[in-house]
Amino acid sequence: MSRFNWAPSAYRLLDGLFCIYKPVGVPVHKVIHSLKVNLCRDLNALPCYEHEIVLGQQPVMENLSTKSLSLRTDTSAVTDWSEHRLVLGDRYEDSDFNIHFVDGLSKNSTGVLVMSVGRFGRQSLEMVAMSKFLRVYHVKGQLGYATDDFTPTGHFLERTSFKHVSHSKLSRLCAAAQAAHTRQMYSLHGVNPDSQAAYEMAAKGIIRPRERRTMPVLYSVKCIDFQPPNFTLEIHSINETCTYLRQLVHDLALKLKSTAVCTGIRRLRYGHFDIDRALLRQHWHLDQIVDNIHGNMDLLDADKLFVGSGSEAFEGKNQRCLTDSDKGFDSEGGKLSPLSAGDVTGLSAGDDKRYSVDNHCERDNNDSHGHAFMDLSKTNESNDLTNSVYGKNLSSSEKNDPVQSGRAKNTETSAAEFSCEKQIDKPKS
Amino acid sequence: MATPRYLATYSPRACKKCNDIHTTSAPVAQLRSFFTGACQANWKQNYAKREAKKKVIHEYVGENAERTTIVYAWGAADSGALGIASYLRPNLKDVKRQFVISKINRPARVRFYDKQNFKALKIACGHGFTVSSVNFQSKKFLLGCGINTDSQIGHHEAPKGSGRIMDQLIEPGRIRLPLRKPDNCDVVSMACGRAHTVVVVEDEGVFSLGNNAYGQCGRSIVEKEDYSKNPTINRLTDLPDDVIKVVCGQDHTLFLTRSGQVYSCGLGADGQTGSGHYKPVDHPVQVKGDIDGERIISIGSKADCSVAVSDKGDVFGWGNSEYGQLGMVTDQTQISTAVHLPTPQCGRVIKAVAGGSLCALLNDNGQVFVWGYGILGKGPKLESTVQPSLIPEPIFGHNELNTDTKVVDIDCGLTFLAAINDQGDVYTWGKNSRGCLGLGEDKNQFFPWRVALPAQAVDLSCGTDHMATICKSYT
Repeated sequence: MSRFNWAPSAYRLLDGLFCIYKPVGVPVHKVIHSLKVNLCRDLNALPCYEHEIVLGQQPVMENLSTKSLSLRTDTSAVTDWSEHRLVLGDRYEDSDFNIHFVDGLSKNSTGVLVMSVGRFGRQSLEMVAMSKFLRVYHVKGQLGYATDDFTPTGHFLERTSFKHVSHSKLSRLCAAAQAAHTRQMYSLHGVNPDSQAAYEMAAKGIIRPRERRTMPVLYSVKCIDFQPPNFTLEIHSINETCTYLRQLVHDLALKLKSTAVCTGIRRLRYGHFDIDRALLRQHWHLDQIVDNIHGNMDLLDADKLFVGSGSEAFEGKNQRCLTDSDKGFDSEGGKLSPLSAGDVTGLSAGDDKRYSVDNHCERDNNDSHGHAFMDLSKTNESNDLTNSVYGKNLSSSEKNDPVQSGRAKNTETSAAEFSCEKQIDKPKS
Repeated sequence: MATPRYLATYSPRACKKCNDIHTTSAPVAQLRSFFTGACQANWKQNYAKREAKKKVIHEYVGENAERTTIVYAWGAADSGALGIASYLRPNLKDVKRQFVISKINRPARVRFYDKQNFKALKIACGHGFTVSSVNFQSKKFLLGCGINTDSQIGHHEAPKGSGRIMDQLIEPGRIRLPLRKPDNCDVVSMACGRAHTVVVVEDEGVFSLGNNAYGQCGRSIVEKEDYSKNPTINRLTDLPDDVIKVVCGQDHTLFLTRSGQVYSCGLGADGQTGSGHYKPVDHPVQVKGDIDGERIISIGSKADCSVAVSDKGDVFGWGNSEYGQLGMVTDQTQISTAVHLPTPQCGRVIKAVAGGSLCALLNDNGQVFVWGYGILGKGPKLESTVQPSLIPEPIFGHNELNTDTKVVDIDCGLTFLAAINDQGDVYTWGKNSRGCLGLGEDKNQFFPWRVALPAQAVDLSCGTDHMATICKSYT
């Protein structure tokens, strides 16, 4: 049973980023389809029309006798079925949802997939794409045979022995592959290597490629599990594709004088979007998606979003603006104007446009910064928005909202975006 | 089954385009095979083939295969110091290539060692020549290649008895030291200077070859001695028995004993012998100054400045200071006794090297500090400094994702530096004279950059304009 009591207000909340755990064997377009179907079903189950006659309810009675011209008119009431759900039809259908994704996964891969719904979501998604987040994968391989497309099901090519392969050999090779990519990392950033800027960039350590579509860059390749013939690699990378990862397994095995196929790819993290935030298949429903969108609002923050978009030069500027705005926000925290749910304010002018993305359709132009949406929903219980949208279930849903409680610890870890991923075991749906 | 063309011309079944008779069109043939079951037979055959393929297990390498030792070299090739003969005599290998390769700016595999089944153990590069110690079956040899004008890589006569003495070797040739067991040349340490070579052999002593104009070979200077085609090999007798390391500057030699004392001989014009005067020393004398009583663990010198590191992590220096190598303690351009260089910011130093105008040190945390003048490795801005300056660790592969990676060894040429990290990656930076950085470019490199070596580097040696590494294959 959904906690919403009015479909259009719930539909309006479907505007932002959410994050799902893509199951194996389903291509992304099928995932999008089933999301749309689920959303339609959930929304249509709610009251959708203003004067709707819900099924099983008495229709509106209207006495038409005075209007009747006929003398022999029956004086009893005529039933008006025009507002009945079966007459009006479903209010929401597939095409009402604009769902997009960034850096998709191939059919046989699984893991965290960032998606957007709605117009604001689409804009945010483009920013996420621009920031070129680091992705963490667990890639499983099996030694012993080779196929033409590096998957276990491809055309069989040959069998090889793998008794000579040891964990240390594989680790050594992983380190070499990574070092070769680190070398490439600098050249892909496109700075003149003779300049002081290049040195300063190199001194920072990890550098993102400048372009979104460059060659894949591997920042870390580690063998975390080796039980011949199976092994698992943990790969941190940017701009890779699933095909590339499969080929990497093949190439590493060739260097080991053996062959291997890639038996599975699992994406554990996409930047700040980690596995805790991802929705399993059984949770691809209206309530969870709205919660997820709500929970991901804190990621649409300037210092988290623009890590890789080449806006490092503006960092100082952003910082100043943010602090200014925070002050302003605190000072006028008490007198926030009540929000009209339908009021879609545009992004404010100038530089603010870059990071005021979480100024999400509920704020007026004056205080365009910061964590308005989040703070509001936490503090002002008497607010119009929260009451109208979440109805009576708000307080209870906040208490046991896993996303909300999980975010407190995430904010610390996500600051160091490159911190090593701890191994999380999440059952595949 | 095509009919001859002249017949086909008259045939009503001839094709209008090619004037030939085709037996049957392709789709019809396919259809026929379908009805006759031929395609099924095809499928069966393919299936059987595939299954047969699955039964064969290819074994590309044995179960207990050892890692191969590979030697890579790069830089100026026309001296023959790389040991790749085909670069200088193209017709040896490739008839099509008629030109000589005089320099190579990327790592080149020295196939001589693979062909002869030699396993390289140690390698040392000098000014246009290279000396290596190899293991062959149960024997150990000393090999040398490159310029031999001062007999720095021994006396090579080819053909034997002809009196034709080679003054350049383009492929490694055996250096025969006067040993008690000639087939067991167990080299402890060796080093090459401008035109001399010094080798320390286990249980046999210290041997020196080549130019002795300033006494760098540790024997009395003979006026107007002709060093070319000179078969003299000197065994140094004035030294303690426990020499564990030898280092050659351009025209001087430093010896380090196990007990931590430093001896020196050779040119002292800049005080690089550390003997308290500026005259040449022709027999090894102990280095004087602040170094007295200290136990030295590492020494370094490539040109006219010398540095040493004690077991407490203190750095000492003497010799040339024109470029501020010893600028921490003095404004003079040369010092003839060892002085203590205060390096409080560097932690516990474990190794220090000194090139022509720049110096570098390595501490036990794997951090590299540089000072002196030239391309120091901190971008084009920093040209000279007298205080050791840290090169950021991320440049050597240490970052948030790889926190264990650190530098384990450094070396320097006259104007460039090189470092190896614990994953076996070689980083080079500095002035790129004739491609000696091995980065695939002829430009100077202003900060450490990884050399694209396809193997794990174990040992590394810098010459003036070439470098050589001993690597191990990954598997």
